[in-house]
Amino acid sequence: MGKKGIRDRVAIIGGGATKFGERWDMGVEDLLIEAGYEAFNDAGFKDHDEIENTIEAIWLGNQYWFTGLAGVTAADSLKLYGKPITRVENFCASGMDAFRNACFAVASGVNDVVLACGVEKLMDEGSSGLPGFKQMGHPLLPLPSAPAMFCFAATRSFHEHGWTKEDLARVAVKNHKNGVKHPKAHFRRAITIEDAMNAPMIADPLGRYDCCAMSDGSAALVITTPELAPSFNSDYIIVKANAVAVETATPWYDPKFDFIKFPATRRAAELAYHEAGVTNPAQEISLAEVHDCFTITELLNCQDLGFCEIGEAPTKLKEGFFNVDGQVAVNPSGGLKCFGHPIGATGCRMIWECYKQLQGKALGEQVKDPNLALAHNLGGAYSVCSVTILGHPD
Amino acid sequence: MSIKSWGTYLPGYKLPRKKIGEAWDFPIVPGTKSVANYDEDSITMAVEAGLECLKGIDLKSVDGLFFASTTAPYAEKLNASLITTVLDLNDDILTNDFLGTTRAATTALRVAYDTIKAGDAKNILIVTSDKRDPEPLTMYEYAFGDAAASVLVSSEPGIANIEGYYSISTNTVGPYRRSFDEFVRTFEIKVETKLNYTDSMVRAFKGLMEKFELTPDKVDKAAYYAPDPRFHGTIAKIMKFDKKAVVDPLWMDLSNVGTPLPFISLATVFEKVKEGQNILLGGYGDGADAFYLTGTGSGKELSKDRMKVKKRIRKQKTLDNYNTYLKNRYLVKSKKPLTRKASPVLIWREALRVHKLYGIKCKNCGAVQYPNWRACMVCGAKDNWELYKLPRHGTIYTFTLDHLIGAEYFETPVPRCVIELDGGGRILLNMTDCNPYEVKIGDKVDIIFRKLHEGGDLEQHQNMIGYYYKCKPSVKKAEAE
Repeated sequence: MGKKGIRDRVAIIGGGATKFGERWDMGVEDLLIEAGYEAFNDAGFKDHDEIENTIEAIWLGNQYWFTGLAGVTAADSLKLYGKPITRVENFCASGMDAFRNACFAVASGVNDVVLACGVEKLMDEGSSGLPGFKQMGHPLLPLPSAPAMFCFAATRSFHEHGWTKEDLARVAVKNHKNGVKHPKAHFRRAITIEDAMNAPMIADPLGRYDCCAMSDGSAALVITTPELAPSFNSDYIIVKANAVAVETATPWYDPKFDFIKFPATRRAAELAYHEAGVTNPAQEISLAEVHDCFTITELLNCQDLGFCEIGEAPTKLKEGFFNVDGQVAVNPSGGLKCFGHPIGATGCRMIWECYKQLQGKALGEQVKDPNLALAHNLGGAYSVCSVTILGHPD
Repeated sequence: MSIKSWGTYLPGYKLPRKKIGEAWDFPIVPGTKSVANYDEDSITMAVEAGLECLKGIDLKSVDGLFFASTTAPYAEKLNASLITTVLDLNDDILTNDFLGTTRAATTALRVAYDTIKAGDAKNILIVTSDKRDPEPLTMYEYAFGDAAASVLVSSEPGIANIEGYYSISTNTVGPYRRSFDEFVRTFEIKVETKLNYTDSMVRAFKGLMEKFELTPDKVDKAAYYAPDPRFHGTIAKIMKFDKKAVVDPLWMDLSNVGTPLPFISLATVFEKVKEGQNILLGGYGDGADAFYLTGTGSGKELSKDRMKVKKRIRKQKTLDNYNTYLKNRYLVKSKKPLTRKASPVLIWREALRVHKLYGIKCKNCGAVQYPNWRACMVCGAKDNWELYKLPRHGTIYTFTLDHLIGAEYFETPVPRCVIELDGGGRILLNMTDCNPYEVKIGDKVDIIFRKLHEGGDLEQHQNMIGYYYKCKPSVKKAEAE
């Protein structure tokens, strides 16, 4: 690892997110404008000229070809031409990886002010699970659906730890409760354990409430150096760490894979904690936006992020450890469970939530006096993980 | 010249004829018919029968493979070559398809006999199977069943010596299907059996018996095709075969299984063949082939290793309703099979992994792995490995019941199983021929050849059939229960 790392070298000065949900009346351009301009306004840019003169480069996260290919998606939407714009695709970590690449530009001194954003337009493709599964992967080998991939971990965890469907249901109940107050969430309705347990099965043992929904959305972040930050926005937030770890796309062929841990999460967390100087995550991280594409994913991630021991997550959850007022507030926004998962947008949306939380300006549930906030994505078959840690300026 | 080995395969399901009768308000006919699952076709069934036949046989000794069927999945392209690849036989062997008539299996036997007799080959494997679609809402639904069988014809001694044959070729009334026909057409069966079937079968048997100076009392077993049991009986009567000599065509259990029928009947004879037994074999379709075989009494050893036909019938699960049968055959027009485009180049390049199911064993760390192999997934060693044929058995490490298949929601889930292979290595396979709700971690499974999908993109010529492997609950486990 390089000596310098990213810690304390990048500041977020503007953040924006669309309302997430079934945005039938909105195209990719509308979504990027909605999120982008909220971020630009937050950073204090008055008009298009100021945006054009200040934003030097853009990194855009999106997964699907039907949302857009290449950098033109951002150029044509925001009408920012002649700039270096790069599309970043890295499964569900696409948005957060776009942010990471944008951070590098600022930290290296190549650029002063850049935009990291993510967008995905899923709903136009219909809503029976993630689209594109007929085209992805090796065409002559079986490809499980996204919920099925994560079910392998659920079935195995049930077997090893004696976890039950009710343990999963508690994740959904907590996140749905958190999302009720959030004006930008797709779903804002509290549910009961019974609702979650009696929902139709998608991939046994995951029912409808164990799965995040298909949604449209976009989120954007304007970043600069900590030195320049106060000239734009006195209420800026510092990037403490940023890490990505990539494992196999097909863990089912790995003779040693145990399906009760996500090695990508463990490795990305290790790198991020090292960079941020975090030694006791459960004590030091105030809140975490954790990838809860499925309820089982959140449980395993909480363990792999070091918030509790392996096998303990359901007990800790039941005890309120992960509540908004708990030791580590996990998904105070409502998570993917409430926001849905427009793939490329999610990572940026999570960082945006952490940014607002640290500012004390959360739109939904506000975690009290947070110190460090962590955002986490896990994509593919637990193949790609990104972890970002944000904190206050010293 | 002998038949050295044999194999049979019946699909995992049977449909009671009563269900068909109830569905269409037809007069109820007793018995059941053998029906293939949605992911089976004549190639996958032939592969299973072929594997059974090759148990205990050196694969490299086989120097010919014939495939006989009226329902070959490919009209142009050698089905036998695909089967040869999947069975992992040598590629410098004689391969051919015998198609277009239910007589194809016995004709393939005649050609195998002649080829070996001429000294051009030593061991020819004949695999035969059929999955014929009768038109729904017709009585032919009662008549057609699905099955596969195989024999290994050898210059070496075997279960039965092939003494010789006699053939008839006719061009009269019988079943036919033109290239644009979805279903087999037949004129009234009475006309066919009188003008064609009875006449050809009897002439072939009579010609054969004359040639070898056989009299009816010397015939110990007669295994032959018949479109239905009544006309099977007619032949026995005309030929004056002893009642005990007539081999049950299993119509009550399987229906008319088409091309493999004579070989399935023959298999039931081989299961308890005696030395010196005189066996007649008859195939029919636009004429007839008749064979004279004599038992050597050496089939007993092989018999232990092969599942008896009666046992296969007993193991077939009853389909709970007629709709499932229609759905599984894609005879309901709104129900489309799973499609996915696959480049023919990729199918060719991946044959060793996808069709022959080879993995590797790392020479550095010893890990067995699949499907990638240039660099070891465990220790990273590059190009330091040996080919390793994956075993066909394993244990479920984890699984799920997936309702989302190709981004469509299905009421019946497909079990996706991560399998720990016997001897090491992991593979991901869909499970078939099972009750999904009975799957558990630790269950033993068998690995079988099936269709994963039906190909896809017609316009880009990427719609070749996606043959691959699936798993099913272990036969051994089922027997233990």
